[in-house]
Amino acid sequence: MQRLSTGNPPLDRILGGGLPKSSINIVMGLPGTGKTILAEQLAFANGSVERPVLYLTTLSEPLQKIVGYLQELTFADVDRIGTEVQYETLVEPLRERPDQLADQVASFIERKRPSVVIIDSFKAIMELASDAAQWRKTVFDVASVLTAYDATALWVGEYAHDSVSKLPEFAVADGIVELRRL
Amino acid sequence: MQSASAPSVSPTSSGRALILVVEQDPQVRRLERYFLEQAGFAVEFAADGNQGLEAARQLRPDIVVAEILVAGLDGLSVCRALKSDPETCSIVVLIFSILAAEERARAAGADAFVRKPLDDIRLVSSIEALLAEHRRGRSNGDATP
Repeated sequence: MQRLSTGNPPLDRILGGGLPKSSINIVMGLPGTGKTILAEQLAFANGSVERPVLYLTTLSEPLQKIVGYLQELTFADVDRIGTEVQYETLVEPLRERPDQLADQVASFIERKRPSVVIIDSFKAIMELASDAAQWRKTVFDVASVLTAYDATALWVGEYAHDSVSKLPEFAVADGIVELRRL
Repeated sequence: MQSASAPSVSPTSSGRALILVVEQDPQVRRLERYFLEQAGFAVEFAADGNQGLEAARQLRPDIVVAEILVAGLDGLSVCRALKSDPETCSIVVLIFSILAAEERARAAGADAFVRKPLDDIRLVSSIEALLAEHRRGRSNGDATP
């Protein structure tokens, strides 16, 4: 199985070389545990002009804030933003139709041809869903899109530990990385 | 959508090579349609193997791209049926499957095997190479007395 570096060498060692390519992974943890920084490390470790990393922001933090802080991090080469690492927002389309997440992601895949798709925060989209049944269908549909295309997915969310047994996204994910404060 | 450049293969009456895709997953179908049309092909779909075989006999596509895991007749059986019929044996067949089944695809008579998930560059370049090879083969055959 091919592996994709997370951009974090100690984590890569724990994971046996990185995340499995073409898999769906959840990065979970409470606010402040480093989820977004890990996602950005992975983005800058894997983006290329031919196959960029697509970083989709939702209703967790404004895109301006994410990119603003990003420039303070040593691994983030801002010259690569917009070509090798592409930031887009799902805020407006999802406010109107949260059930259209899969269609939005498919449209981005067609236009961008990404090697990695990061959705941050995935959990925030759940809070827009009208009910649990609609959310389960949305999760299934977006997982189907991401499985169809040769891309590795990272769903970032402020999930608590007990979410694993309760939410449908954990049933379809191939891998789960939980970050905690020590 | 970006403008599509024409592939370097023999055109159908519409001016584009025709691909018949046998695929039941709607998300895969959506992405296949986008990337194959963007590459300049005309694309038709069948959602199961029986429909795929019937469509291949009627449409006579330049190439059939078939998943093995489809309802009814599986993709390998579609391939065997096409290759064993003198009327359809010249249709190029590419098995495009989530299964690691290259040997089985070759044994069924497939011209090529590509493993999922969909990598658009790999899929399009495989189709273009197969059709170009097929065209060269026909040209050589036509030149033989």
